[in-house]
Amino acid sequence: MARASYDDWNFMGEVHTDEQRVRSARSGKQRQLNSARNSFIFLCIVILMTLMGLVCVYSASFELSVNQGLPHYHYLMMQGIYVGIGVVLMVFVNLLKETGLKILSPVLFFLCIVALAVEIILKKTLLMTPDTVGILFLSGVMYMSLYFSGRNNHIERGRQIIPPLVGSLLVLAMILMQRNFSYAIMFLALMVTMFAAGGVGLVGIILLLLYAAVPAACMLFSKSERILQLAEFLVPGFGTNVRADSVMVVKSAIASGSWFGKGLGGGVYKSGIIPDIAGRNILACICEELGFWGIILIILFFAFYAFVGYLTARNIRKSNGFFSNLAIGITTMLVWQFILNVAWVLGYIPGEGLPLPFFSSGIGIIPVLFESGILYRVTRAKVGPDQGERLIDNIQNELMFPERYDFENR
Amino acid sequence: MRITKAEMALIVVTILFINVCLLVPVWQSARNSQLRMSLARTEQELREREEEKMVLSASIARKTTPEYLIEQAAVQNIVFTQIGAETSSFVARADDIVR
Repeated sequence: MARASYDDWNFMGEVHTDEQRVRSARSGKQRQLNSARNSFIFLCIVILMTLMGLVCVYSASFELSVNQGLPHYHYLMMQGIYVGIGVVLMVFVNLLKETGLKILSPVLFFLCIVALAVEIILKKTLLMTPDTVGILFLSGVMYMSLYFSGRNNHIERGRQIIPPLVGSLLVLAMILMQRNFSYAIMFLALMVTMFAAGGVGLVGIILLLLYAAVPAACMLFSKSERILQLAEFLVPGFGTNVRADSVMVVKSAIASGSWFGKGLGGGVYKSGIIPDIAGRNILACICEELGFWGIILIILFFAFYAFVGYLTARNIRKSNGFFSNLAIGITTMLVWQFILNVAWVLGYIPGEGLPLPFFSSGIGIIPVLFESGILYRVTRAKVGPDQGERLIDNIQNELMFPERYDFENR
Repeated sequence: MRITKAEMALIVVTILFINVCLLVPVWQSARNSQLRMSLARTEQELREREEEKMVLSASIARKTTPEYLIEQAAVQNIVFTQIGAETSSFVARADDIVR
């Protein structure tokens, strides 16, 4: 082994030989290569899912267009326009620097709170639709990512938790005031994820759940019709569950797809039998036409998406807390949205339901592509040494080469 | 493993190609559906025209009967006068010439 020279000693008393430096440089280069590969794989998954979504929307909607006397490609064209807007936003967010994203985060969160307040005052729907609610979730994720990264994802004192706790509860209260429990649960689940990612302990998370659950329960049981709705959902055959019929048809459509489906465009349940077939219920059409293996393929796409998102979050955890939190939040949001859509379509959860990301028609694709753009930006971020390593390197360089640093004029 | 730009472009083009291939049968199915709908509409229109034609034919047939002629003559106060053979003149008709 080569003897270590004076330059190989750092101030911590550890030896950095040439071999170790070369190995370190190689591993750094390898990490960059892996990062570039991951970002490309991620981009491929996004392109693939977006294009497959377009095909599925077209397949689910052409009967509807023809029945309405419109050209058969009407909904495909509309979806294409939305995808175009989403792609523009995706490119825009990739041109932004990290500082730009950091500025955008609180501004977006504030605008969403204002929009919610306007909704409550004017009693008009702006954000609380299945297609646009994604913007609200994203703004919450971005704000929490920024806040916790400012504290190095480590909450030391109890009072540091107050701003995100108040922000989350304020938005939750505004959602609950509009009596939308499914969106409130989704937002709460996201906030719990962000709190956990931000280094908030178990006590903080329990506090959040407690503050959210008590008023939610009070609002749920304050009106007799809400209790009735809950009972109708929980007890089959009790009362008149308005979704029971459509769920039954959806299930028979899924079952009719069998293993390999009827082929794209060959489905019969889309001709007006299932409501919102190209929107939130598109899963029924996909299952009918692509069968069991088709839906397994779509689950695999989402699994890849989640894998790359969480892998990126782990890789840049030490070097960039903000991007890491963003990756965790956005990936969780998309995966949750997928799971909730499947559960809603199959009738396992009540409420308005959320669109299937990338596949449902409507303007819901715009926030999904925007989120994917942010995640792509995160995957492209440089995977450098963590902050501790950088600090040690800087101090070491200053001690070893004081002539390079102009200490007097600092 | 390093992916070169050419490989990246190839992969993206492959994804596009696969999706275009998926779109083609759906497009055919949609076009088929639209044509089927258009055919059904045309057939419906044809049936309506046929029905109109039958109604018109029935109306013409009823109006050519002597009963209808007499009835309308009474309504419009028309008196028929007999035309003598020596005062009448025959005008040739197309179907007469053919025969």
